[in-house]
Amino acid sequence: MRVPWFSKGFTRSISCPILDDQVEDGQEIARTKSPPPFYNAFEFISSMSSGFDLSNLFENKRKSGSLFTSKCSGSTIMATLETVAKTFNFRVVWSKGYKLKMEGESEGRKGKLAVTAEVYEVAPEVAVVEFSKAAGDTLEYKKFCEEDARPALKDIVWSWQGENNCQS
Amino acid sequence: MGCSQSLVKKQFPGHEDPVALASQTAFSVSEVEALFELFKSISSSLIDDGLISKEEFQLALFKNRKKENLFANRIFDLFDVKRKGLIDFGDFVRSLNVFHPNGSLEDKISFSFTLYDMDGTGFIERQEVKQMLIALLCESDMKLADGTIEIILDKTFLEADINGDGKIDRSEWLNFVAKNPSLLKIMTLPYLRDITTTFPSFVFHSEVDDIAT
Repeated sequence: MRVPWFSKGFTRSISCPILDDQVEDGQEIARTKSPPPFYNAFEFISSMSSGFDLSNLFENKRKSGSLFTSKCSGSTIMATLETVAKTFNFRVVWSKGYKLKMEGESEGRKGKLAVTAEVYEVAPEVAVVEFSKAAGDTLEYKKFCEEDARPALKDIVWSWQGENNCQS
Repeated sequence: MGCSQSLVKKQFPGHEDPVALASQTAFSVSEVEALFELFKSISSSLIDDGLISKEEFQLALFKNRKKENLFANRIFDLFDVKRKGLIDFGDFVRSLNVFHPNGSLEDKISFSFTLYDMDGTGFIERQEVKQMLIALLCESDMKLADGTIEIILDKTFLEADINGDGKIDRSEWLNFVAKNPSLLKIMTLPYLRDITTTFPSFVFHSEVDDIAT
């Protein structure tokens, strides 16, 4: 697996799954050429910190995150997301650069659930992945994120949004 | 009606007339009353004094009164307009007004600038952003080399600090936010639109006639 072009961009290959090159050639080449778009310090702080998220004042239980950090390369993350989609019978509607949209097979309460995922780069070894609901029922979306996507992505996740561990 | 108002004022120092608060903000009178329900539950959670202390704020936000957090502290400090270490109802409503979906963009931009300007110098200094990044990493159990943090700061300031003086002033922030509108995501709480359905109990204690709403 030590193919030179594949290990480009990997600084922490130990913690990331080495995937077979199953992704479409065009996208893979495009991704190795340019990194994901830059996620600046303020975007990073405002998205990841739970202290700035006042919506918790209105919710009784802690909100689950729709954003996580990863030490893997953008291409690995995109490939993993596509694999996860297939695992849960989601069709990848489109996948371009560092964004993709997946759609569930079955009709939910408000039609088919569609989810978009976007990968950004804070620093060479720190990526941020943002999920958002594109269509369908919000509860089904939350369920998908929490029960399906979250465990399936654990190999590439470094930290989830809003997960507080130490006193700062 | 006059009787119940003065009783409320006694129990809740700084309590202001809902009609007056509604006229100063994007909230309707019923929404102000619904906010009062929320305020009551937060302000009475540890000490029933009609004011929100830092611990009560932490309890409401994190469900953990002991959780000290740099970012929550900033929000608390900005809500605590009179710098008493306690938030009264008027402060609460006027501050949340900034987060209303219909709140002015100017207010949101200004509030977000002040949020990041931790020492209140009127500039967001590089060191302040570094401090916040470190706090974030600690809170999320992530570790990054100092060199990596410096790279993040370099790239951020390259875009934001137009005159290259190592700090971001208000006009540079305005420019930066225009290019990166997602920075204002935290400044809007969609929940505020449905506040009367989230806190329906106000319907039974309404101080004001339906006509006035």
